[in-house]
Amino acid sequence: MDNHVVISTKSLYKIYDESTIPVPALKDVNLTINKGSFVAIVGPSGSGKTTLLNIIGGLDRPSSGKVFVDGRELSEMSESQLIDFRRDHIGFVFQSFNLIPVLTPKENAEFVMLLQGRSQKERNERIFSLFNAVGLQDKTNSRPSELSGGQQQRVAVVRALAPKPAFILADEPTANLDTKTAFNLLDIMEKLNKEEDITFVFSTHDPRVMERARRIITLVDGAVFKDEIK
Amino acid sequence: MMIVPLAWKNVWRNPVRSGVVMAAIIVGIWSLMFLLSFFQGMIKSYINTAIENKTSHVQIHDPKFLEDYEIQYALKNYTAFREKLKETGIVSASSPRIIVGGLIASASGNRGALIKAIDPALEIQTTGFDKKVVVGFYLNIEKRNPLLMSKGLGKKLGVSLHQHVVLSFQDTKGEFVSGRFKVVGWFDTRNVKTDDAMVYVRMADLTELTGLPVLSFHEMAVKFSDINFLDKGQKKLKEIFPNTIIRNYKEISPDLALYTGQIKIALTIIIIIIMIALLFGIINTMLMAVLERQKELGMLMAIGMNRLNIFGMIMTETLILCLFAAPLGVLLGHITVRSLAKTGIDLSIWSDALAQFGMDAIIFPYLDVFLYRDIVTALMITALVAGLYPAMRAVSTSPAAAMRKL
Repeated sequence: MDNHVVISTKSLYKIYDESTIPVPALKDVNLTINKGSFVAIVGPSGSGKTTLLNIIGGLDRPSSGKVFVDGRELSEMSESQLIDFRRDHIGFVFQSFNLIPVLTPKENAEFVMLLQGRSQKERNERIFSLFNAVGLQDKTNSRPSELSGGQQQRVAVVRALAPKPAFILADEPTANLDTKTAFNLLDIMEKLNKEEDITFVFSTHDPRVMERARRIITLVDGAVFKDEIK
Repeated sequence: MMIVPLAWKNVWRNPVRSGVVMAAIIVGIWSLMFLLSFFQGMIKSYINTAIENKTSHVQIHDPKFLEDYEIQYALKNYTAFREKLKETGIVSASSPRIIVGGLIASASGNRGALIKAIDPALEIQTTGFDKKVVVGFYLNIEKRNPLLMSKGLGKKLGVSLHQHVVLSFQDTKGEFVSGRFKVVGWFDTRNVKTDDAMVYVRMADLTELTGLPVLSFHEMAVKFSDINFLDKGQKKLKEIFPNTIIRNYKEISPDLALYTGQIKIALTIIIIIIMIALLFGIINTMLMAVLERQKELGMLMAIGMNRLNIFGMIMTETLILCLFAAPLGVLLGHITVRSLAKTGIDLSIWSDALAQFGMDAIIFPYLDVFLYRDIVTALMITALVAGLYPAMRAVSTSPAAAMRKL
């Protein structure tokens, strides 16, 4: 792991319903996440995990404070710049997989690369190497509905990794998976993290994920309660 | 880009719903084409009936004659006149007429009537008037002073076939003259109003009574070899006969223009109503498709699909629905119109009512080529408008809000 900072937040605040009864979701969050990290953001429900992930991922804007991703400040970007930034720099893995049901795993995986305008050759090389890495090389042309939950989540990981993002944001990635499948997915992600130096940031309740994480950031009531590096 | 294939797959995600909206579009186009062709057929029938029985394509008069229909304002030498018409190369037939307003009297009554004196042989070429004689004989029989009238007028005058009537009118000197004519047949041009106000006699029989020189005429009915020559022909005839007034059928019968104008307004309203119905049908379907997929749309935005792409995808889905259904609707409509154009739609049960409006009892649907284009254009515009609201709803999706639901 090098010391290149991928994500940093400065005095991050997020307050919902500012005009009526203010509900603080994040309070003075200051974080720095380096390239190659394998970080779990944990905390009870309502602690602000998803809010933090949304703000880091450029899906939501903070009430105050700054977020830097790959050295660029997200709050200075327009909505359309943010969409392009997300496409090129951030990979998302969602709790309930969220593959595009009408596309095959291969089409799902290359979707973002198509949006980036990458060539077919480049897409094919990248996609097939990733499908090999997650052990789904024989499922590339199936229907998402024909795949198990674990297989779908692995396709989602491939989709997130395909455009070579600066980091992967995964919101409760193992929540809908059985233990065996969850371990299998964590193995894959850990392998990609170690071998390809890919940064992973999870929000999770899952002790299985916490166990594998090399850094655990605990949020309580929107503030960083604990930040431990294993 | 992948917008079109993705939109295509999205359309077939729910085949039943897409099929229903496509069926609605197909039925909408089919019914539109049927209605348009039916009304166009009615207009054509009305115009053709008027041209055949009443106006021809153009008519030529002395300008003063049209002011008050005075008998002395006649044009001379119809033989030479017709020669010049023939030389234009676009006139297929012409027939001279003497027109006199007069009184028709029988043993039991009298009525005012327009007396039209025709050359029986020439009139056949222009209007096919012999075919309008439904009972009795046409005027080319070897009898003295034959006369044709409608059965309705005969009833009003209390005369039967082979009975005599007396025609009275003022001659060129203003003297009252009368002639005895024999009713040889009933004619019926399917226009009760004009039929009951007119009688037909031979020019040769009437000329002497009028005091007009031989070969004089008040009206020359002209038929072109093609109705498309109408404007060009009218212009040409004005150059050849500068001291006459030459009017086309629309100018002669403003009611034709009024009627066709009304029908066109009705057709426009029908098109608008059907398009509005389709508009709401398409909006409903697309909106359901968008609302059902809000999470997915949010996810697509989260992973980098911009709003323009989302907007384009929904608009493409709407257009695919229409582009798929439109040709089928047009094909179905075309087959229907083509087959009905051969057989006609028999409205004989309303033949009397239709005759009042100067229309045939059998309507042959007909659709101008430009209307095919207009229908498809109107549908495409409808599809684009219908797609706008669902597409705008789709782009208003907040990826963060959608993420919270994922």
